[in-house]
Formats: sequence, C-alpha cells, structure tokens
Amino acid sequence: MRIDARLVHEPFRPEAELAGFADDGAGAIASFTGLCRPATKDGDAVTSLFLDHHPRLTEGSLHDIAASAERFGVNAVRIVHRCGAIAPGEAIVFVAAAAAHRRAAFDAVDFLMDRLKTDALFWKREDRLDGPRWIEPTEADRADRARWND
Amino acid sequence: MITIGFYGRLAERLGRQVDLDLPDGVSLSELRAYFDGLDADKVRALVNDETALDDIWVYPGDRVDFLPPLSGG
Repeated sequence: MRIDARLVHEPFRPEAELAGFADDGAGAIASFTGLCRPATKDGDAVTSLFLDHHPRLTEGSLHDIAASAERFGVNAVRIVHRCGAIAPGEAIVFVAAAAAHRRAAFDAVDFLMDRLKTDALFWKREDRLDGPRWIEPTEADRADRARWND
Repeated sequence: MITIGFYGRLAERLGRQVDLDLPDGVSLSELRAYFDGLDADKVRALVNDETALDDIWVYPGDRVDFLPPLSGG
C-alpha cells in the first residue's frame, strides 16, 4: 500500500491533492475534505481555529493512522492535515483512498477520518468572539471511532 | 539544561518551552510536581519522544514533553 501522509502549515488546495492522487490500476478513488466551520454546533461564531502540534510526532501519528487503512486492502492512501491558525472556509484535512472497488475506498476514508478525529496528535482551540476554548473529542467522536473495533 | 515542552492548553498556561538547569537530573514525578496541573492520569509524558513512566530519571540534554489530552484533528 502506498502511503502519503503530510502535515502542512499553510493553506492547501484539496482539489489539487485529489488531482495528484492518481493510482494506476485503481477502480475507485474516494476522498473527503474537512473544512473549518464559521460557527460551532451551538451557533457561536468561530473567528479561527488553532491546531497545536508536536514538531516531530504529529506527522508520525498521521503516518501511523494512514498505515492502519491496510486492513481494507486499498492500494494507496493520502492524508494532508493542516496545523496552526486556520480561517473559516479553509481546508483542515484531506483524505483519499484508492482501491480496486468502491466499498474498500469508501470504508478506508470513513475509517481514517474517524481515527483522525480521535487519535491524531493535535490540540484544537476554537477562537470565538467570547474568547478561546480548547476542544477535546466528543462522545460522538469516540462512538464513531469505536465502530471499527474488532 | 533539561528542556520541557508544553502543548495545547498547557502551553498557553506554562509557556511553550521551559529550560531547567538541574545538573544532577530529576525524576519525572518531581517535574510534574514542580509545575501545576500535570496530573499523571491526564497528562502524558514523553522523554526524547518516547512515552515514559514517572519513575524515570531525566538528565541535562534530555527533552521532556507533557501532552494534555488530545483533541484529534
């Protein structure tokens, strides 16, 4: 399985990441892009998101998570993840998987996103009009992650 | 120097990096006690990028990172 997992400090273009993810022999490519929302789920405005990271281990965690998609028998996976200050509307994460058939590609992307939401080495702060707030995984995130436990 | 790194809400409170001059070294549990709010059940410690238990001893030249609970991506 080909793995490309990258931590990026500047805005990136998800469409360019998808265009560059051709995989000879794949019959299916699935992808997901996560964007910075302009508001919290309670409707409070978010002025920016800050993703703190470890200078060496965060990218390693992205690579480990990408490698765990091997269980789906996919040919290739790509993870691109932002860190630092992210403005509403900017991409936070791009995930793609290439496989012989669609089900493996869909499942791998779904699985990788659930793992990224709980296991990636980040500390997330929402900057709101009423001040900053550090975020931890929700019960819903943990339940999504637990769907894949054997 | 022993270099201590903090992340997330810990970095906001304690600074991103603190250098301590402790020529004889120090145990991780003593370091936790030196700073406030580094409870072992919530804050994971790394020594030179490897997960470490509290009885480990660190020396000048080592780097210790205290990681608060992850938020995920």
